[in-house]
Amino acid sequence: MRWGWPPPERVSDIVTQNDRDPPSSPEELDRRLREAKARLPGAGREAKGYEGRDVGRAGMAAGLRIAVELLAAIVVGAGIGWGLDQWLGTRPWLLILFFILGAVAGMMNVYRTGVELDREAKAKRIADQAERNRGGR
Amino acid sequence: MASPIEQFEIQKILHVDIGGLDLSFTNSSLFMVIAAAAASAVLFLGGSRRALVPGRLQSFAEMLYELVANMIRENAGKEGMRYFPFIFTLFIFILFGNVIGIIPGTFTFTSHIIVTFALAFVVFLGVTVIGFARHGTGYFRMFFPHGAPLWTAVILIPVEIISYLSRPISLSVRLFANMTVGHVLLKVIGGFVIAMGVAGVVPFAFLVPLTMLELFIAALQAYIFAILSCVYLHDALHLH
Repeated sequence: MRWGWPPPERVSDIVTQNDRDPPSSPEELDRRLREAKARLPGAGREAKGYEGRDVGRAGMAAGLRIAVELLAAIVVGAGIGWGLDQWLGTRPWLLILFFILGAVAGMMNVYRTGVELDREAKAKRIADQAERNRGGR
Repeated sequence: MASPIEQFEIQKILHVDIGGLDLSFTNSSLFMVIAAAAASAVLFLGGSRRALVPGRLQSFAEMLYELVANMIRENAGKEGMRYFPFIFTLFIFILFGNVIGIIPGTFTFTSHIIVTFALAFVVFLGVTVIGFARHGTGYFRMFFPHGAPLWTAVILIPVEIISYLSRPISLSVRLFANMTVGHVLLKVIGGFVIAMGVAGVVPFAFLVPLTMLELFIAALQAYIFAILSCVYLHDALHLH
């Protein structure tokens, strides 16, 4: 649920006397909520500047998410290689081999995270569209 | 200027030693208790009135419920709803821990990697157990994509295993790094405000939006932790 921006100056502009009476049914409440939302200033248009900043922050978070994904796999790969080397006394060959495998796994992780982020963004867009359709009906 | 990492120090409040094992009640434990208590209070109070037109607290509790329920349905499928209590608890605990940590003078337990790693490892273990319980040895197919040529198994299986094992690491490091970096940054800039005297209004002006950003990150990281747990749960239930 998103409220309009800027906020209403007076609640009485938005809430009518009718709204204060208890609703007769859940459907009635839904209808009233929709109507009240439509009366909010800024209803029907996107609050662009506000939204844009959030996208920037979420983008930074997505970037970090991908970077950590790549690093974690390399660390795990190198760790396994180092451990096996200690155990089998094959230094440094398994470390080198598993470092490379870790890097490959990291890139695969990055690819999967990319696909995942894309799917999340799509799901959010569909949910937003549904929300808007429900509000504007 | 105060050390920016002083805030992460563990202090013993109640010394407990059982069989040579240090189980002291620390400031970290204290804030875990506070986070759990605050979350329980909000949800109990929010859920107690059950009004048709929800008040503020009830709206908040309902919003949290819907957020997590939708998250699980979208990312883990309908069957994932069986694990709703776990994912919800995880999300709320991390969310409250992160957000309470922003209040000056508090302790952020999610800024310790051992805490986030323990949380991530529980998710990892749980998901692995669920996977094996559901698919038996068929869960090993996780490590070899369906339809790939057989000779690629030599490379793909080790790579997939590393990728699988990297999950708890990436899950814990992401949360820990975000919280630690944010708090160090706040502390350093906060130190400038004091050190620069009157000119301190300039860093102070930075501090205000930065605190807002930290609040956003605190919520977002809890969300990401929970959503990734759902994604892993989906893999365990449906094998990719």
